Amino acid sequence: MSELDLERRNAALARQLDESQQMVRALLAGEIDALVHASGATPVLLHAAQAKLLANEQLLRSVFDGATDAMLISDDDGRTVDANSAACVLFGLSRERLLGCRLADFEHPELAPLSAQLGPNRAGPSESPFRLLRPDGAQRDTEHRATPGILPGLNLSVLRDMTERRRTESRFRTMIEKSHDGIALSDASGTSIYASPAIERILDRTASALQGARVAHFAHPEDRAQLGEVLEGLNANPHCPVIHEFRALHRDGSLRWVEVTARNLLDEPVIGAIVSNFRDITEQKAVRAALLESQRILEEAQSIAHLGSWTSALGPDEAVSWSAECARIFGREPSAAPNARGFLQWVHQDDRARVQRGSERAFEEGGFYETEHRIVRPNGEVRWVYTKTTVEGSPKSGSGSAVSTREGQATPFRAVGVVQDVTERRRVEDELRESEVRYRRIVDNTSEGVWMYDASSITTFMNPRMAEMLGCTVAEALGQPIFTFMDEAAREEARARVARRKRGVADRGDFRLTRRDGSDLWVSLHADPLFDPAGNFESSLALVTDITERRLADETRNRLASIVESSDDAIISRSVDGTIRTWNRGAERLTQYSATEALGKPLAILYPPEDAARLNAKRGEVDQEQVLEQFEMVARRKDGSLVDISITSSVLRDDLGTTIGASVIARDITERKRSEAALRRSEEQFRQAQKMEAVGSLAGGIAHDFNNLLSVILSYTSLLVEGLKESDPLLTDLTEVHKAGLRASGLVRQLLAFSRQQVLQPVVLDLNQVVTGIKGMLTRLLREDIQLSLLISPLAGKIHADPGQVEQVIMNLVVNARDAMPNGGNLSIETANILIDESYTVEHPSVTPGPYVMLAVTDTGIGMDAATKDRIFEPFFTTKELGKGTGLGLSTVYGIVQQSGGHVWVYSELGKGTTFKVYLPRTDRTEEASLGTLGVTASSGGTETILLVEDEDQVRSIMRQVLRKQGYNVLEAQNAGEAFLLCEQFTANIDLLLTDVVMPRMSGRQLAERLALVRPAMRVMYVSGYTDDTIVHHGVLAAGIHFLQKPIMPAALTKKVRQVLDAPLRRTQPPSTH
Amino acid sequence: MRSPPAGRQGALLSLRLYVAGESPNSALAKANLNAALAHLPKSELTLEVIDVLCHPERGLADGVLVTPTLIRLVPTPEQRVIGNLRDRSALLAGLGFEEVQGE
Repeated sequence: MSELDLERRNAALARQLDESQQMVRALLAGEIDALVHASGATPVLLHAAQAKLLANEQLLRSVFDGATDAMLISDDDGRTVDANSAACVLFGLSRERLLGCRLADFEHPELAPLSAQLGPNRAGPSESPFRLLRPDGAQRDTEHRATPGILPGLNLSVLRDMTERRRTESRFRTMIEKSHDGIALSDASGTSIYASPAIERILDRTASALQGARVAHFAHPEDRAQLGEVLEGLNANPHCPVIHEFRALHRDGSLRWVEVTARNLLDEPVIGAIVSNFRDITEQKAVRAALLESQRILEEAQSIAHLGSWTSALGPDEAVSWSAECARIFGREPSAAPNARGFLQWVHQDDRARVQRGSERAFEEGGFYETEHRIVRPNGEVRWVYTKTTVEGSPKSGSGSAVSTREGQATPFRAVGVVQDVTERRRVEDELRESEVRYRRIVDNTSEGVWMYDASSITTFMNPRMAEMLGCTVAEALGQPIFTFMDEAAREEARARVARRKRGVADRGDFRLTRRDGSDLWVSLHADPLFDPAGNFESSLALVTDITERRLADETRNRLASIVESSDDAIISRSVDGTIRTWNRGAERLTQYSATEALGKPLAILYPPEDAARLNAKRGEVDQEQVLEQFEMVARRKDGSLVDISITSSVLRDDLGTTIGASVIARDITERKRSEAALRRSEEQFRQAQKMEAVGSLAGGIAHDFNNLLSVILSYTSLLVEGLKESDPLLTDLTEVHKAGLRASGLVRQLLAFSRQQVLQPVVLDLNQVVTGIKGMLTRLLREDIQLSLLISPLAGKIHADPGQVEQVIMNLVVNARDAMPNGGNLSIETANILIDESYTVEHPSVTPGPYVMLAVTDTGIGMDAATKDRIFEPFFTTKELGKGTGLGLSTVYGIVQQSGGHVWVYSELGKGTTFKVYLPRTDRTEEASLGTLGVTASSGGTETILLVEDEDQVRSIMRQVLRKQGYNVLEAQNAGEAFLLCEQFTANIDLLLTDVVMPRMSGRQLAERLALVRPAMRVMYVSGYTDDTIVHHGVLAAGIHFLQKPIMPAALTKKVRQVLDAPLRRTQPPSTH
Repeated sequence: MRSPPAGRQGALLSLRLYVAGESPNSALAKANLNAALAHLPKSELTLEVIDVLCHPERGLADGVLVTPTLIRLVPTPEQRVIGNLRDRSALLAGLGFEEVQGE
C-alpha cells in the first residue's frame, strides 16, 4: 500500500468516524428522519418522520389532485392506475375512462413513438415533448416528464400542457424579432450567436456580417476597445446588467449613438448566453442633451428667481426630489432632501401651526395649499418664502403606502412643491407699503392740493385738501374734467397750458379756478407732465396752493403800496431799534436820501444833532404805545438843510402782537409855516389897520366940534388982538390964547391926518424937489452932531400927492430920526424908483403891485425892538419922555401915506438904527397943480354979497363979524331952508355962497347944487372941520372946489374969500354922483 | 427538449442534501441550510436536494445512511454534515467557512 493510499484510507476512516459520530449525535438529538437501506429498498422512515408522512398523505393526495399539471401513475405495463383532475381535463376523459389506458394510446401518430421512453425503464426520470391526440380529435402539445419507479412498480408521468407556452414562446420570438430594440446573444468569448433583425437596422449591418462577429466589433472602431472591456467585465459578474453607450458607424458614414444593456445570463439554463440589448439612442441622446440643457436652464432660472421646486412621487414619507435652488433656499445640502412633510420642521415656529394645518389638509384631501411663511435656515437666518404644495392621489393619513388605496381613487400619490424665496420681495413690498402709506398720509394731510388728470383732462386723482379748496368732495371731482372748475376765460388758458404741458413744459404760476359755489379760487400751480414709458403724454400732476387770501392781501398790499409810494408825504417804517425799513418816494423827496441810501440806516440820520436826544426820546414813547400825532419837528436833509415837518407815528405789530417797529408819516410843513407866518402878519396888519381906523373915526367925530370951538376961539382972539394997541398989556395974554388955539388946531389936524380924514389937495409932485425944498428947514431941526445926507435918485418919478402933507411926512420922519439919535449919528434921506411885484404883495397883502417911488429915512440910532415896532404907528404911542412928543408924529405919517395910496414900512435893529421906507405910487401924469399958486391978494376986503350958511351960531357969528369987518355984505342963514328963502327974497346979486359942509337935513354940497340952478353966477366956497364924501372922494378934494379947513381964522378966511371972488368963474358941474 | 447546460464553472461551492420527503428534520435542514447560504451569490453555489423516499438509489450511491445528510462535493475533499443543521457553526465548519464573528 502506497503512502498516498494510506493517507486516503486514514482520511476515509477519519471521515467515517466523524460521520458516525455525527450520526450518533444526530440520532440522539432526534435530527434523523430516515434510514437508508443498503438493499436499495424504500428507506425506512423513522418513527417521527413516518407519523409525519402519514399525516401528510391526505395533503399529498390533495396536492396531486389540485396540481395544474396532468399526472398519471402507471404500472410497469404502462397501464394507468391513477390520474389527477388536470389529467382528465387534458385528455378530455373522465378518470374512469383514463384508468387502464396507456399513454402511448394517445400519442399523435405523426411523431416518432415514445413508447421506448416509457415503461419500466429504470434509467431515471426523463423529459420529452409529447403530442397528445385526444379522443375528441383535439391536439395538445405537452412536455412529458416521466419518472419511472417512483414507488416500486409505479411510474409517474407528468404532462404539462405546452400548447399555450409554445404559442407564447413564438410570440416572444416574434416580439424579439420585431422589436425596435435589437437583441443579441453572445457566448462567453463575446462572439455573437444571435442577432435580432433590429440590430441590422441599428448597426446598419447585414445579418450575415453580424453572425459570428464579435459584439465588441459592433461599435465604431474608436469605441471598440471600451465596449470590449465592458463586455469582458460581464463574465465576472453574472446577472449584473451593464449599460454602455457607443457609436456605430453606418455605411453612409453617419454616426449613431447606441445604448447597449448587456447581462451575463450564461448560467441561466434557459438562455445560457450573454444577452445584449441594443437601442439607437441618437435622437434620445439629442433629446436628453436638450433636456439636460433645459434642466440646466431651469436650474439657472430657479436660482435667479429664487424659485425652488420639489416632487415626491413615492409617498409623503419618502425623500422628495428637489432642485438645487430649493435646497439653497432652505440652506440645506442638496443631498439632505426631506420628505414631503419634512419641510414643516423648517417652518418658523410662529408660522408652523398655520402651515401645518394647510398642508395637512392638502395631504389628506388632495388639491393644493399655498401660503407665505417664514423658514429658519440652519444658521438661524429667517427667510420669507412662498410655497405651493400640490398633492394628487392623497394617501390615507398615516399610511405608508405609496399608492392610494382609497376606494374609487386610483390616482398614484404625487406631490409637487414650489418654493420661492420672497424675503427680498416682501421687504420691498413692506417698504413699498410703508412708503405708500407714508406718501398717502402725506398726500392726504398736506396743505397743498394734489390733482392728477389724464391726457383728456379728466380728474383721476385728488387729495382731500384739493377737494376742500374746490368746495366739493373727492368723489364728486373724480371723473370730472378739470374745466368743470373754471370759467370760460380760465378754460381757454388751461387748454393752452395743457397743450404746452403735452410738449413736456412744466407749468408754474398763478391760476384762477372757480369753486363749486362759483366763487374765485386763486391758486399757485405747479403742474408737471407725466409720460408713459413709450414717451406718450399720460397725465398731469398738479400741486396746488390756495393763494386766494394771499392774492387778496397782495392786491390790498399793492394798492396800499402804490398809495404809499405815490404819497407826497414821506411814509417810512422803522424797526424798534430805529433802523429804516421802508422808504417811499415822498421820503426821498422830503429828505433827499434815496431809498437805497436810507434803508438799513438809523432814522436818526434825519435828526439835527442838537435835537437828537429829544427826538430819540419821542421815538421811545411811540414804542411805548403812544401815538404821536402832528408832532412838529425840524429834520435835517441829506445836504444838511433843515426842513419843518409834521410827524404822525404809531407802533407796528406783527401777527403775534409783538412790537416790531413803527410807521412814520412825515409832511413837509415849510410852506404851511410860511403861510401861517404871513397870515399872522397880515392879521396883525389888519388888526393894526382896524385900530387906526377906530382911532381915526373917533378923532374925526370930535374934530368937527373941536374945529368949530377952535374957530370961535381963534377968530375972537384974532379980532381982539387986532383991536388992541401994541402997548396994551392984554395983547400978550391974547397972543398966548391964540397960540394955544393954533396948537390945538394942529393936533386936530394931525388926528385927522393919521385917520386919513383930512382933506388932501394932491398935485403931481417931484419928490426930489420936495425933499430939496425943505432941506434948509430940516437942517434947522437937526442938531450939529447929526450928519444929514441926501441920496437923491435923479430918475425918481413923479407922485400924485398933497405937497404940504408930503412935507409933513418928511418932517415927522426926520424929527423921529433925530430923537432916535440922542448921541448923534448919520441921517440919510433917499429916494428911488421901486417896482413892487406880486411876490412882495404875498407878504404884504395890503400893497397893490406896481411902480412906486420910495422915500427912505435912515438913522444910525438906538433902533427898536419888535414890540415897539409893532406899535410904532399907533396914535399917542411914544417912547419919548412925557410932554416931549404927542405920539401922533408917526401916526400922521402912516395916515398921510395911506391916504395917498402908499405904504410905509419900518426896518429896525436894536442898536443899529432904523429905516422908514415910504412907498408912494408913481404917476405918469404931468398935470401941474390944478389950483396953481394962489395969487397974493393985496387987499383982503371987498363989497360983494356973501351968503353965509352955518348951523353953528357962534361960528356963523364970528365969520359974519370978520367978513363985515372987511366990508362984505353978508346974508346969514342957519340952514339950507333959510338959505333958499333968502335967495328967493333977496333979489340982488349974491356973489358967493360960503357954506358949511356938514349940516343937519341938507349938506352944504346939496345946497350949493340947488342954488346953482337959480343963481348960476354965484361962486361957492366950503368950510368944514371934518370931511365926509360930500365934497371929497377918499379925502381928496374934487377939482374946482374951493374949500377952507376949519378952524376958521379971520386972516385965512378973508384971504381965501378974496381969492375965490377974484378967481375966474368956472362953471363946474358937480360930480354926477349923489 | 434541451438538456441543462453542462459544466458549471462558476460554482465555488457544490452541495448535496439528502432528505426524507417533508419530514420535520429534513424540512428543518433545508431551511437551516438555505439560511446559512443566503449571503452567498447564487452563481457560486450549486445545491442538489435529494429525497431518499423518491430516489433511494441515490442515497445508496453516496453511501448515505441517514437523512438529513449534507455532502460538500466542491471544494474537495468531500465533507458531510449529518442532522437538521441547527448548529450553524458546525454547519459552517463543515462547509469550510470560517465563522464570522458578530454575524
